[in-house]
Amino acid sequence: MNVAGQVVGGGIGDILVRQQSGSRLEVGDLLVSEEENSILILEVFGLQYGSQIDGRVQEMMSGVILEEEPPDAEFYEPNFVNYVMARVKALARVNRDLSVNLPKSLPAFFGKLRIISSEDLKFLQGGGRDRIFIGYIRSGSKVIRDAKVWLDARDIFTHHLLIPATTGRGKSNLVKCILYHLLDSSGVGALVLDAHNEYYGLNGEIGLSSHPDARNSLVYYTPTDPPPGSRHLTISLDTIRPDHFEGIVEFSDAQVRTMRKYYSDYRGEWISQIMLTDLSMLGEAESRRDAETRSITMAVLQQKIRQALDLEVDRENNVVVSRHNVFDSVRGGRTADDVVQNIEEGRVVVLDTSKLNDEAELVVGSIIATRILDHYREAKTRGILREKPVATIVIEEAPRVIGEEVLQSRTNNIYSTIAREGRKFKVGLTAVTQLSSVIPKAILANMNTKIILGNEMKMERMALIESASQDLSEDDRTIASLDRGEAIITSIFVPFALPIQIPHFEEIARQHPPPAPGTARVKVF
Amino acid sequence: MQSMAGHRPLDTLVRNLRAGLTNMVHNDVVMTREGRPGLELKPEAFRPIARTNAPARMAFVDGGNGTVAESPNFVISLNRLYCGLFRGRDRTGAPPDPRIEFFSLVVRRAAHTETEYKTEYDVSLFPHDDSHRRYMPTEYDVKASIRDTPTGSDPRIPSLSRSLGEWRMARATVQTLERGDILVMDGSLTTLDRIESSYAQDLYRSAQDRGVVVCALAKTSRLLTRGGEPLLDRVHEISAGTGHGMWCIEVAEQVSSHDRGFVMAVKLHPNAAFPFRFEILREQFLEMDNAEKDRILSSMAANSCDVSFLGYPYGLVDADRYAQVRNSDVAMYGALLESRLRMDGDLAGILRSMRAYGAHERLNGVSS
Repeated sequence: MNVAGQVVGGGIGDILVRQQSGSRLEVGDLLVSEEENSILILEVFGLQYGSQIDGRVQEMMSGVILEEEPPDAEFYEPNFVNYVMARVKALARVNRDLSVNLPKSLPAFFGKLRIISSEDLKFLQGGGRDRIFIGYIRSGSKVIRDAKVWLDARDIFTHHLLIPATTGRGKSNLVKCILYHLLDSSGVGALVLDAHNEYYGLNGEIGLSSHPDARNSLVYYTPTDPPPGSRHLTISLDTIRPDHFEGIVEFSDAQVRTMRKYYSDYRGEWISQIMLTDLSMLGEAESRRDAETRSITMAVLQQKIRQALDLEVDRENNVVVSRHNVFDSVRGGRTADDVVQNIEEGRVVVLDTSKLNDEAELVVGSIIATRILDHYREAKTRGILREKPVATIVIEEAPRVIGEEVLQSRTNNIYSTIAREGRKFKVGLTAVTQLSSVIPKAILANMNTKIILGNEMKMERMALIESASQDLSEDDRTIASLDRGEAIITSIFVPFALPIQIPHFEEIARQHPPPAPGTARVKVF
Repeated sequence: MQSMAGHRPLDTLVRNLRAGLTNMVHNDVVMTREGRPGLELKPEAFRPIARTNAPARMAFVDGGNGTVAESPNFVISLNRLYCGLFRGRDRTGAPPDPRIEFFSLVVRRAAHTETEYKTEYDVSLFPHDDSHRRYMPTEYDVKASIRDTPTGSDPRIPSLSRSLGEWRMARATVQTLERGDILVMDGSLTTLDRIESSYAQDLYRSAQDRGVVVCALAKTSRLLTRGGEPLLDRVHEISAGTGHGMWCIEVAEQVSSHDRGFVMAVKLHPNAAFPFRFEILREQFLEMDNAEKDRILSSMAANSCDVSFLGYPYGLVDADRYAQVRNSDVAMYGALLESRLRMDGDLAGILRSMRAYGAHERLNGVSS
């Protein structure tokens, strides 16, 4: 046995281990205690110095070295006298039959521990059609390439997935990896609002389009110059309803009433009618005061809709046009339905929203997400929900729609509705964020899988620790020290919080086996 | 009335110290007992200690004891004996039983004659392993070492088993050493009585038979010069003029009839803060040539470069670490003993007696 340390004290949740000299333990290292019919997996969450020499004597020794620089002076038996103590906690007990339990006992006092090996992780299930590869088990910074973490896609996406991290810790790479594996699964359909247009893979870059089954499983919408096989992102203004703005754009009661009145009167043309309304013609038969009020309300409403959807009014032709070509008063009537249909067929639909402003992007998502939820609700009512794949909405900077402030100041939006009750209808949210702390605790706790990447901000770490599916109370420093691509999975679907190394997307794409001849389904859009 | 501020006993004390201990006239020869001759402490008498690349193997022996329980009629002690082997800075294997632990029970009981009331002692020793008895003193010898005192109790009782045990441990260690090896005792080669002297004699005989050199090194010394100055302080002062970084000076062939060592003062590292008292078994020392003396001193110096205590042999630091009986050890065994006493109804009186004897601890708890 390659001994890494020995148990010398502590208690449940905080066991003290003296490091074997030369083993160089790291925060996050996984250790194993071999027991009679099982192994106990433990994780290092803290490291500190230990010494047989009193602290004041140590300081004196340092003074001697620094101030006197004595010749021929050294530390005798340095590994014996001065050493490193690791604070570890037990993560899981793996029984001989590979069943896994939460540990309720301590490893043997003075028991020797070794670094984990792939043999110890055989209990991790392998891949499969509806399973997605998240990464390799990681012990500290050491990656165990034989121990791969595959999660059941239907489980994790139904119960919402949170990907929290600060900039530069590998969020986009992780999302790309997850989506790439989703392309192998027909059990989950995904709507991806790609605000940076970084997932598809354009101009020869490796992206989701590099997947061997991309033609069949991936649908890409972009507002300009769609590459072959992809579609033009055009959404008819007719498909937008007043409630699609709910919780995204802030309207006064009078503005909402006006919107509803126009929707009631003009149905699909309500936005065009509002935008084309001549303010001077308002309230011809009314009192001057009322006319002024209506005029102001309409003016502000026009301005808000114009800004939200990036619209312009072509007075010459008396039509409403979109600055980014996404919204159209004539074309794009089928887009939302097509997207929803693709998702219901288990495909990944990527919308390039990079040219849209925040609100327009969210409105586009809202239109489709509302439709998905409606379809799934209806499917449940009809008893056919089981036949449908899980649907997930991938949204970046999630606090824009499920942040505490947004939810308090505005009405609920479709995203928060999905976060709260989507699980019943197999509709989930995949929320990517730098600021978990501004998401209400009730919603955070409902996100039953979190893939936590590095985060320097204490407040963010605490929000995650408090809402984790496993006890991460001692992992504050561990999360802070996660390097790029390193993560911890906490989920109701894993036996313990799994430290992982997320692979580079390019590596995944290169390794992916090409489809067997004759198995690819071809779909021409 | 004299104010509190005006009453400064410490100031008076310091004045007395100054009067008594400063401006002393140097007389740089060690003050020995029984008029034994000492050597003059002068700069020319200092010999430098050279570094060596081939240090001798050295065995360091130390012991420790702690009182686990006591009452007016018994004392239970925990005794530890330890020996570590080093060559220069490196540990070089270990003797067969490097660390021995045993309990000693000394019971004081009434033993009246027709003419007087008196007490006698019964001594029992309890090792963890019976094979360890060869490192321990005999019960008879511990009993014979106990002296009658005016208070009826010899204050050395808790430590007697340990101090005799150190000689036994040293003798057992010597039997595993080879010609040219060095045995270093913690302290001095001084013995306090006939029994201890016979234990020391056993060691010396065995060492001489096997060609093992017996030494002792003491961190402190109460020896004075004839001028009344502390020997080691004075030696340190004189050494300043020699220019030697590491040095040795011979002090006396014998400082008392109870000490079989040739006494020296040594500084074993240039940056050592203090010199130490060092002894080599006199019979061996007197037969040594300078090369042999240098070999021993260089070997000691080669083990004295640890930053934690520059100039003090690391082997003795190590021996102290393992032989020491800490308060926590005493508390643990005390609690174990008490739990066993509780289980036996007949021993409840002993428990009461122990508690009554420990009343000062309770008072400390109340008044501190």
